[in-house]
Amino acid sequence: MAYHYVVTAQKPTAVTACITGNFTSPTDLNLLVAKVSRLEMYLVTPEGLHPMKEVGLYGKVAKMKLFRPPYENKDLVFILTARYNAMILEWRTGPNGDLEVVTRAHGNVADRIGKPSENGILAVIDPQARVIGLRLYDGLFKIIPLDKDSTELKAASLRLEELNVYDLEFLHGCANPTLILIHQDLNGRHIKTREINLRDKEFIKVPWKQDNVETEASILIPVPSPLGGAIVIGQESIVYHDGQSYIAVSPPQIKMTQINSYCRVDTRGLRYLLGDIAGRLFMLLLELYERADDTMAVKDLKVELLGEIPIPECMTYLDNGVVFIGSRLGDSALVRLSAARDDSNQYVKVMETFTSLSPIVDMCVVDLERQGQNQLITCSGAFKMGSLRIIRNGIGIQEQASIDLPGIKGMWALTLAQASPYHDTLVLAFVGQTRVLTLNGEEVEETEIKGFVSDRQTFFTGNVSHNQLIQVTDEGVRLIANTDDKWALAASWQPGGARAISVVACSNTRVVPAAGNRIFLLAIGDRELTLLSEVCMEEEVACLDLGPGDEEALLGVGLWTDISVRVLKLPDLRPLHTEKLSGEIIPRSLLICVLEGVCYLLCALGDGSMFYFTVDPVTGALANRKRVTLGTQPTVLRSFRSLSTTNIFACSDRPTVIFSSNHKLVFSNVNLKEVTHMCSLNAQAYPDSLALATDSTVTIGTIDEIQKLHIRTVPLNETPRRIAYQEATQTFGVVTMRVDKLEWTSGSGSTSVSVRGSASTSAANISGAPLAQPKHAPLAQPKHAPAAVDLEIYNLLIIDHHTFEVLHAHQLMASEFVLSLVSCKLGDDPAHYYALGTAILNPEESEPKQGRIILFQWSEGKLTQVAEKEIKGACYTLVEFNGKLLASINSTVRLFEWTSDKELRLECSHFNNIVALYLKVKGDFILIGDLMRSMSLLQYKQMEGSFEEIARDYSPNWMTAIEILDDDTFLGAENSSNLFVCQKDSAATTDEERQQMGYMGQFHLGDMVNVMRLGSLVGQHADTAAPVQNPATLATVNGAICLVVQLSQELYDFLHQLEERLTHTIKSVGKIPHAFWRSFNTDIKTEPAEGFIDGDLIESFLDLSREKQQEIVQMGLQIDDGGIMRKATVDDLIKIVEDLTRIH
Amino acid sequence: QCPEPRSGGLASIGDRYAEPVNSCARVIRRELGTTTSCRAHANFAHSHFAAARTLRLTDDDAYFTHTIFHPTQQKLLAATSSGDIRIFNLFSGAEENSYQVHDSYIYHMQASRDGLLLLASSSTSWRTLSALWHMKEFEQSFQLENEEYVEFSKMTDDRIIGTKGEVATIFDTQTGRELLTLNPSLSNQYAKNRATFNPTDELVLSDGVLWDVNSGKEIRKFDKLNQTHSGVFHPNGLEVISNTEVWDLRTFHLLRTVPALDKSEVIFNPACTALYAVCSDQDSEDRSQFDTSFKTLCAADYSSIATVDVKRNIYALSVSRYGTQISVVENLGDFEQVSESCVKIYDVGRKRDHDDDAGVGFYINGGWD
Repeated sequence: MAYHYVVTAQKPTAVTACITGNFTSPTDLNLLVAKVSRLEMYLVTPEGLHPMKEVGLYGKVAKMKLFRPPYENKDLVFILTARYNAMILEWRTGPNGDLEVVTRAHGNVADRIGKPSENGILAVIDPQARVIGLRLYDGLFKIIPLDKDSTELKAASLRLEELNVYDLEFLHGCANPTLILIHQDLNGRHIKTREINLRDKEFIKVPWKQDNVETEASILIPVPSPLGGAIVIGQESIVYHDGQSYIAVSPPQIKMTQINSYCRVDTRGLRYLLGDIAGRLFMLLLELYERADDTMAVKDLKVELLGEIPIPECMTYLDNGVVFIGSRLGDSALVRLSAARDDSNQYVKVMETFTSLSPIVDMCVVDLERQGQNQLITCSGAFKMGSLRIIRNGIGIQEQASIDLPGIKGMWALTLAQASPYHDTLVLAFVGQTRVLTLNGEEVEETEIKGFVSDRQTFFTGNVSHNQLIQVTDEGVRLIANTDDKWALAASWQPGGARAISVVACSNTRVVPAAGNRIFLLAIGDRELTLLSEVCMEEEVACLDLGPGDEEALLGVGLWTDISVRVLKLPDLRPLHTEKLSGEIIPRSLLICVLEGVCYLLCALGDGSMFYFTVDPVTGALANRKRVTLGTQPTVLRSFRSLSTTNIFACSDRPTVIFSSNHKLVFSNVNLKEVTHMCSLNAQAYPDSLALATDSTVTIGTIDEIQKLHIRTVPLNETPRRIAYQEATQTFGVVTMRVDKLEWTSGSGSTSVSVRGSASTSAANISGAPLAQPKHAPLAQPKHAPAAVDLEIYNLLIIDHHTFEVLHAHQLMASEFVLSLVSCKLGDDPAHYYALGTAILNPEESEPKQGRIILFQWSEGKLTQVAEKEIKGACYTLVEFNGKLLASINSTVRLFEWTSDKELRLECSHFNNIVALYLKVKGDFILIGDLMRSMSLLQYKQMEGSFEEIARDYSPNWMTAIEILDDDTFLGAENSSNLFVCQKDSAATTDEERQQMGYMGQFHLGDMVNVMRLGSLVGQHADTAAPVQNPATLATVNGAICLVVQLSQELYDFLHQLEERLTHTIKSVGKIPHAFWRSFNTDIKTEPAEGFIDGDLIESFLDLSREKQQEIVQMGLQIDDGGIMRKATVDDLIKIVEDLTRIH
Repeated sequence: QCPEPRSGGLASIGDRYAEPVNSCARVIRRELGTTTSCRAHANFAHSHFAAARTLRLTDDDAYFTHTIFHPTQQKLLAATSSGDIRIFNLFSGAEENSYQVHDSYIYHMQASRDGLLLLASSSTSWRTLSALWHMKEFEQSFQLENEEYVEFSKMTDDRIIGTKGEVATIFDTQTGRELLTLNPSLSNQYAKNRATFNPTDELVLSDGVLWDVNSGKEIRKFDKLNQTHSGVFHPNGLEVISNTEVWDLRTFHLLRTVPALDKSEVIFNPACTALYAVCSDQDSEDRSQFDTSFKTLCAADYSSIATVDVKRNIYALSVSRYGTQISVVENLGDFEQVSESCVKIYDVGRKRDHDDDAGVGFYINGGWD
């Protein structure tokens, strides 16, 4: 058997829907963004978008609409998923101040019979919120009446005569809900209105209609009252119609393009923004005139090009000329419209972009820095938004300088120069001594500060109020002041008694040293230190920290022996709260800090684990206790600022950056082996940097943007299609597609013109076909063709693996599409080649009849074509196989030998496919993924030089990606967003069983996988405690990255039980059952998920409150503790789940 | 009708209504996330058929008359002119079992979805007989005397509908009890009336008349435009196909006329993306007319995909559970004197061997538009 665990490392990034409204309160202006199966709620503020809450949905958002019932003072959200789960959601602030998503009503509106519409799902809500209308199946219109108290969404079906409906909307200002729709029949496209009788649930009349609108019309925009009516957007014309008047314009700006999204700008409905598939933004204005009866009517429609935006999937107008553009072909953006054009002739300015990897069409896994940590290089985005993305797990430190200094016990940055914004000094503490380094430009030299003691270990030093320095050692506190640019000791303080100072906390105006079990509070005055108060704790103080708030600040204290955390309040050090930590490990480091407006207390223990709590700033009460394991060594917590946010650095054998995202603490690895101490450093030569100490070295470096996965973008401005890494030449080969315009000139000739600068046109060197005549496209302009036609031009780019500079671009003939790319070494030939597989694509044919395999060599800065082989079809995949080149060409799989004459010679072929789209190899085995016939396995017989089909899955899966996980186990992804695992059974007794691959698991991933690669982003899996193996990384069409690993049966069974309990405890948004969501679902079958653990669900255990976690444990889970089964505790579970979170 | 596909580039990705004809272009488009319907791929698949296996009778002088795939196992059931049913293993091609269930020519079989029950009808010159069998050891459950044609209801297998001339009778599958008889007030006298449930089991079409199952009342009588076929429901629940006529079930208007379906039995693939049309111009007097080719059509718009000529008389055609294979009874010679009989299994979508071009005796007509 085979058991698998699948988890999301990067959530989908494609934006599929967005709406603006007052969702979280009547006065909040919110943006709600749907990313496939995730909903992100933002608050719109003058400073930008402020994330409020992100929730996952057990379904793909097909439609998302807002409405406001008459009895509500804020907006509700209607969502319909791709599997027809309908729900009405409210975002509500709960009793504890947390924002929660409440399912007001829900239901499944699927029919058992019916033809799902090829034009997709359409959902509309009556402007007066009386009814929701759905077009799911051809010939049927469903209505869901909106009643205040009903919690069940039930749809009634109305017979819709129009079969082929392209768009529909409710008209404004109608006594009865009235639909307007665009439909097509044999005569063309028409618009028609239909009034609905809600009580009898039927259409009652057709108030008006207009036959024969433009043949490509597919968008309707209803216009608000008092104007009413609707705008019809076509390919070449825009029409306004209100039943009486009909105004049509044919603006030249919108020709040659296709409008695919719109949003309304003003509530009166006179201005609309239109977006087209080339990523251009237009303004549509309705010009009015006054009729004789004093009412206003539309006189004219004006269209103006505003500028360039991301290629939109959806857009929504926020406020003050700010628009959110959601894209699934690249980064989404917040743009501002201005009244005047800017320098580049644009009315549109991008304010903020939101990183998106979608769609990922190919990727490679490489360890570029040879640090044992893999990176993913993805082909992401399309058209002008095409790019390569370099993705790394955790946070990278870019090393700027390093100094060999062993034995560091503490490190602080100081500013000695007067009125300087920069640090210029680094103080390092060692056992029994302190050393001071001056940072002079990039130079570092040792120096001394007058008034500093250097023969003791510093516990703390820093710049404090009144332009003074403070130094705390075991013997006492020293205040050093500056007079006439000279530093000198100004005041000092020693604790009385036998015990020396052991720990200290300090703010700008207060210093809190502790000696033994006594804590002192000193005020830092101008050249004086004043003891304000003193308390005696029950046990010795192990660690402490001052919270924000100066004179009234909270003080967190960790104690020895009773292993507790206390919260005290300044100025009288009054005890507010006591929290016992379980176990016997002493707290070593404590931190109070505010992240995203929430005050936290973190306390790290000597064994590398850490407790953290939220702190009530008034009562000092600790709540929401959680425990994580950061490393295995004592951990030191330090806060630092990066790009204006506060973050925490946990120094240990597994350095971690802790930051807050979506009001949740996130733990992200750092690409360093070990850090013992750190401090922020903002020196002139090293701005916004960190100083990090290891056992032997101090490193100064800058830190990447703080996020769990670090993503770097290399824009290409054209569509990347395939990528391959060639280590020998330190290059990447990247296949790209550029869209040129083929323009007909006044004669009969045609020329192709590149539309914009992109990677292939701006490469350092260019070779190959000139901007060529297409081989198959007609040269003479067809009679009715537009003046220009898009032409896809493919290039092979050679890209430097360090700088990502495009070294060379080789252009292919027009209409020759490159489908595959591999770096290979063939036969005895020592050279490394890039092999390209192409197809000559004639749009009239049902599949390509011709193609080529071309071999290139990159050597000494030159790209040389080494060989070329004509083939009879499209070469979908190329793989290096036993020193030969394996190709899938239409329905065949063919093996080519590399001869000594440097020619490709066909050795053997296999024919049993419809279209062999994908190939993976291992040893002598070849796995084939077919367009519609699942997977099959071949064995290459070396002696005979032939293929033998070993096993096959006889299901009709339409494959999108395949991978060989181990000798017998094969992972497949198919067209309807499902994953499945097949196994070959070599030990089976009958031929029949051997020939048939057995199903070992199936699972609905909820996103279509485009590419699978062995390996994972986390370097050494040995490093993690989770017992998993054979990781494969999956990338999807919506920009998600997932990880599939294999589990032991014991762990699988255990996690399966946990999964089961979690589905009972976690309330799903929209009340969609988890089992429904994960069931394997295609057009012809739906079967329960099996053989896979839903890692996303498992990880959500960590987000639960302690009480809920306890609840789950009480349901009884057994774990194996050294061979003895016992009941699992909450901490056992946390440990197991945390280990699993570390695999990605 | 689809709008003309635009030439490549942005439009090919952005326009979800215009799917490229070229399958390679569709794969490229799918990678970028443009939703595709299955229609174009299905058309592509149903334009190629490659013979995968040929099954023959090893013994006697009987010949194959009908065939169906086992609904749950990799097996094929083939009925013969002498009234027995042969079970073939689809992996090995070996005949595994043979059951004598009738005395004579079995001309129709249907299995229940769970693979436990089988309906079979046979005829001799003097009577017809249908019966329900338990498939395990082929014990007879009950006989349906004189029923000429029987099939299960559509959503579940709990009812059986039988046809005797113009009269349709609904039986309970468990008990064999008669539940309802639908007898038209005025017979249309179709030569081959075959009563059938609609996809939701609420309606029955028999003798060109649409019946409401709950009330047992006639809803509509379709115009009689042919002599043979009363008609079948399209699985989308919206249309009735009566020979070449396609009726809109909601308005009872004639939606279109599809000449390619003339005198043909219509069989949908399980995904309902394509349909097979097998011409069976055989009335009760003269059964000797068999066509040697079958057609495939797009189930959405009835456009022709392919005509496949097998050069032998096609007695029956059936589609496997997921539509990946079809089985065809191909006989040579006159009806009274079949000289050669076989069941051929074809892989749907696979091209004949390595010949990338269309082979001999096989042509694709029309493409799709």
